[in-house]
Amino acid sequence: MMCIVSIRRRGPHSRNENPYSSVGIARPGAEERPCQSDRNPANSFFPKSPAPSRRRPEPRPSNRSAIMRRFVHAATLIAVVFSIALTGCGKNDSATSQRTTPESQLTPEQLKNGIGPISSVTLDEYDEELADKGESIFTSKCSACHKFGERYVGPDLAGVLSRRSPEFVMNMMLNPAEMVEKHPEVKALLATYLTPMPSQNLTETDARAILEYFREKS
Amino acid sequence: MSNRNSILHIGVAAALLVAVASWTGCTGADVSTSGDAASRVYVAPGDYDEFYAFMSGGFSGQVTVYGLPSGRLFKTIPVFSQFPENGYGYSEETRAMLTTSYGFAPWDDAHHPELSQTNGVPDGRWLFINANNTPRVARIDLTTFEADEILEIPHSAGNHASPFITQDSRYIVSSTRFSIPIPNRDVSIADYKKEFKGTLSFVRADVPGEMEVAFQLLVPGYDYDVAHGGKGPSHGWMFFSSYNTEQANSLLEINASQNDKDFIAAVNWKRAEECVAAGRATNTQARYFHNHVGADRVAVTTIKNSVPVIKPSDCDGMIYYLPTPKSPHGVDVDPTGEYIVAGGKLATVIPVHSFTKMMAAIENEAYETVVDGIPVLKYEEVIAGEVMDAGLGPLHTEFDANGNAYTTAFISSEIVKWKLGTWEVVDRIPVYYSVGHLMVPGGDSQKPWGKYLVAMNKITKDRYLPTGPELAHSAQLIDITGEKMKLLLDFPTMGEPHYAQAIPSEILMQNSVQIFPIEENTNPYATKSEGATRVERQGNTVRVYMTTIRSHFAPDNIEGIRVGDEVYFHVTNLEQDWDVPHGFAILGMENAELLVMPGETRTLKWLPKKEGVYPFYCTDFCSALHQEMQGYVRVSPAGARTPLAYGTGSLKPAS
Repeated sequence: MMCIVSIRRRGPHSRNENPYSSVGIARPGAEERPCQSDRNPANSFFPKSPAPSRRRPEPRPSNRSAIMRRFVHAATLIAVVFSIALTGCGKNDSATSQRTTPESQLTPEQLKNGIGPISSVTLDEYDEELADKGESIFTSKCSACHKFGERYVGPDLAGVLSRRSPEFVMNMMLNPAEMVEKHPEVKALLATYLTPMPSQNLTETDARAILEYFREKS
Repeated sequence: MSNRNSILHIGVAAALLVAVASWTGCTGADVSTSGDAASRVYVAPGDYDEFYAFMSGGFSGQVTVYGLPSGRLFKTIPVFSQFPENGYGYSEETRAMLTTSYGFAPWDDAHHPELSQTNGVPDGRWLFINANNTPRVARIDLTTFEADEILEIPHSAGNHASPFITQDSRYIVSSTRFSIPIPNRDVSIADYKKEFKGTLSFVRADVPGEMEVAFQLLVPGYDYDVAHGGKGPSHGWMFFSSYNTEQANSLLEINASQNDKDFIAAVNWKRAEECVAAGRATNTQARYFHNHVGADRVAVTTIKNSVPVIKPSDCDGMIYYLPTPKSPHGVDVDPTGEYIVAGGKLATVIPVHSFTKMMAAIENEAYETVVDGIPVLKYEEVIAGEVMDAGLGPLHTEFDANGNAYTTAFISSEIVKWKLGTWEVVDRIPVYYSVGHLMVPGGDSQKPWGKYLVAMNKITKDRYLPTGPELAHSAQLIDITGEKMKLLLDFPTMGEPHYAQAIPSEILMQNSVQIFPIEENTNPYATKSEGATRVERQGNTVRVYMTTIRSHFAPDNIEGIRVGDEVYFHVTNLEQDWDVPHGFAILGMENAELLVMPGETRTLKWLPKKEGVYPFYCTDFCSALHQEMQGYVRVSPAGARTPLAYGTGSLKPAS
């Protein structure tokens, strides 16, 4: 038994030619080669329950720094690619791309308060109700990685408010991606803990409530 | 994520390198298209395509999502077939989607995607698609890109002319390609002409979660093939093509090709509604399933037991037949709603009926004959014109906004462009090879966006690198902005795209869901914090309430499972960040993995058969420590006294 393999390119069919007609027929130029071988509903499973809405995206672009980063990387790559192109058509296997990270130029304010939407927080009298709300959000969205009194996936949060400003703490919750990328102290934390803190899609109100819970714990 | 980034960077670099290399003239690729074709389809890295295109998967049973003009594949949306890649049809939350009155159907053949419309324009709310083999229609929610509703069609077989839509999304339709005894029962096939009937069904489609068969027309036992809704002046009518008016039940390729003309059935569904409201339909017993994903994102089945059936003889003015040459296949209504274009598989001309003439013929009772209470209008009284020299084997037609029609010619492998009204062929372009459907964005609506045409070809042959006997079906992107059509791009497709729809990106992209808020998760087995994770035993049933977050499972050590247990892993993904699903798979499982979207709960059933220790792990690369995201289940022999215990870090006994 023979298999017919053709890798020759064919021109367009003429209008009256049915391509079916060529099925299995070797065309001129086809190479002949031997073949390799002759060869229940889960209805009752779930009780009924009511309805969530679904979260829609913020309009893009959502993160200026991500765009800047992309821009910088793209610019670097374009430069590298052009330099390869300029060396002519020959192979240039040794070409490597060098990623450059822009020097962080944070203001003293950003160093203290972090990078993000929160520029100032006024701490009034401790609000127990708010702290309770914060605890429940923390339990759902943060406790898988943070504990008080021990290191877990992320740093021990005991005494966090004596180490960080309230603004820093809230910006870390609200803007973790940029904090991890740019803030020198958070970069250092990443080097220790290796897992970058993910965004948990908190609102400023959520973050403020969690801050109140941290006040309770400190 | 860093690996994803570096892959992205490499990709970007490669693409730029190619782009620069081609500017500098280094490549020798011979492009048989016009010189600027590459730039017309080039979507720079990080940029977006102009259109979303939804292609049916044909025998894959799914829908694929492409970008146009790049031809890039973005996603497979599982609909009518199990999809082990994400657990659709395997997980306890999704298995009900594939249940039917015939049992669990793990596969089907999906043909015609149809976007929902408002005022005759695709609106981006939903995409509907039909299952051809076990007759069903499905709704895909275009905020999540997930199938969330499937309705079985009773009294049907070969649901091909489906789910074409009315301009207000009130109805999608369904029909019998294969006529059958109705109700289906044990009769001799030789009694076809006496016992076999067709049905044309109208399914209410405008309320999510509540699709229902509003009524079915009981019609002569022909093969009903494709449909399209009237629009503008013809809104209120639906047109179905038919073949096999000979009513052959064997060797149809000869026996169903005898008659000079078959019929297009023109159904006045507003009239049908009146008759149903007047009590002229019969509620007929029929068992069929409605599967729907509730607000808790769990699919449930409701069993239906009856359907209203109406006979043409009980509702005058509800249906007419338009004689149409030679086994018509496609039936397409132009954007003005005036012209009804038929594609006769064996015809050499394209007949175009006029809605105005049809209404006059009905008014004048210009009947050739009456079949089973259905008046057959005289051909010459309804025909507006015939397109001559339109290629061999014309099948389907779509339209642009400038009065042009584009018809596929299967046998001669070409697209023929012609003018509505003058019926004059103005251009033609070869396609490779044997084109079936074609799609122009909005090209079956009242306001085509035009610009591109996608030819969906049945035969690929030598267009791509050979991949053994089976080849990907080929789609071809054609520029229709100028007088002459221009071929821009070939791209491979998944399964067999029978039809497609496209919609401008800006209509959909802002609505796309990124996460499911964890606080709104109402799955009865959700675990909303790591502190709530636990393992519970009730007899032989063990439920593991598990959470995932980068980069660990809780619990990740479980002991006390015994051979013979029925174990449910209820996995809740606590992430609230876009594009961070976690996966779950365990050694030796016999179903599929789970992919769990942020904020969602998915359940995998596992039946351990042998004692031992079974690792499980996250299957979707989630973070730098993804490889660390793993755990163990200890399985003891049946009857063993190993205490049930679980934990992350340290084991604690189950309560």
